[in-house]
Amino acid sequence: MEKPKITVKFYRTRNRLLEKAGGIGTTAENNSFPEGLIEEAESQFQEQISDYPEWVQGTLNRLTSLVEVCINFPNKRVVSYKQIQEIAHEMKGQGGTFGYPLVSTFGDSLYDFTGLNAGVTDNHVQVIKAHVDAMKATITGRIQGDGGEIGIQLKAMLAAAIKQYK
Amino acid sequence: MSEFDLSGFNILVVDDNKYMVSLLRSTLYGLGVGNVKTFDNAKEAIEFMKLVKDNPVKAGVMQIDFVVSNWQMAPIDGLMFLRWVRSHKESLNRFIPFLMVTGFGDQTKVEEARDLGVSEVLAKPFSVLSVADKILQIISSQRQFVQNKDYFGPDRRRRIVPYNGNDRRTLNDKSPEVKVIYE
Repeated sequence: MEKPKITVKFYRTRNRLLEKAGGIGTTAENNSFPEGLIEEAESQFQEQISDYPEWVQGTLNRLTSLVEVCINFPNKRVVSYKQIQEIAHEMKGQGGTFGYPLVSTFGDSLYDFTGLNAGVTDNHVQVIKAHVDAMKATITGRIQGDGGEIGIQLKAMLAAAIKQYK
Repeated sequence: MSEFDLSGFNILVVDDNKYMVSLLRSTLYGLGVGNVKTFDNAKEAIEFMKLVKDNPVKAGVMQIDFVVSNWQMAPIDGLMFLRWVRSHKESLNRFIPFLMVTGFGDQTKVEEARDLGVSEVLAKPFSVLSVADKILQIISSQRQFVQNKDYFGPDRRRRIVPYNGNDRRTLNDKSPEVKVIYE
C-alpha cells in the first residue's frame, strides 16, 4: 500500500530565546524583567514623548495642505482622501502613545470619514476640515489626557460640525 | 524568580515614521535589549536580513532574535514584509518571531496578520508596559510552527481548550499525512 503524501508538518523547536534571556533551565513561569527596569524605561519614555507637539507639526501641516487641496480642487478629493486617511490612521496610533488620546479619537473618526465610500461634496470636506482643526487645537493647546472641560468642548464642536454638514 | 537579561539580543525594528522608530528603539534599549537595528523601510530591512544570512561579519550581527515592524508602510507594508520573512527562499530565518505594530485594532485585520504567520500584534497606542508584555510573550512562546499548503507560521491555536463535541480535525500527530519535526 502506498504511503500517503505528507500534507502537514509540525515543527517543534526549542525556544532558544528563553534560554538566551534567562539562562539554561529557565522556564516562562519563573522569569520577569529586573525590578525597577520597566519603571525606569517608562520614565525615559515619558521624557522622550514630551516633544511630540513640535515633532508632529509637519504632519499637521501636511493634513492642512491636503484639506486645502480638497477645498480648492473637487476633482482631487478622492486621491487626497486616501492620503488623509493614511495620516489619520497614523495619528490614531500615535495620539494615545504620546499622551494625546483626543488626537486618537479624532484620527479614528477622520479615518472613517475618508474611507472608500466617503462623500465628495463640499459639506463632506467641511467635516474633514473640522476633524483636522480639532486635532490641531488639541496639539497646539497641549491638551493631554481626556482634556477635561476643553476636551469636552472640542468633541462637542466636532459633533456639531458633523451634524451641520452631514 | 530570576530576571531576564536581554543584553545579548539583536532586534530589528522597521517603521517609516522616524519618531516612532526612535521611540521603539529607546523603549527596547530601556528594557535592556543589547542591540536594536532600525530601518525606515522594509526594503532596506530585507537587504540587511539577506546580508546577515550571507555575511554576518559584514552585517555586524550573527543573527537577529526577532523583528518588530509597523504594518502600514509604503511601498512594502508590514504584511508583505512578513510574507517575505515566512516564505521567501532568501529569508534569514523563516521561524523568526515577528511582532507587528499597528493601529488596526479590528478583529478582521488582526486575523489577516495571524493568517500570514505573525507571532504577536502590538496595538498602537502602545506603552512601555505593552511592549514589555509582548517581548515576554515572544520569549516565552512554546508554540509549534505549522506548515501546510495554505499556511506557514506559529500554530494559530494558542490554547488547548477541552471540547466535548465531535473532533472534526481530520489530522493529528499520528496521521500518516503528518510529519512532526523536532529540532
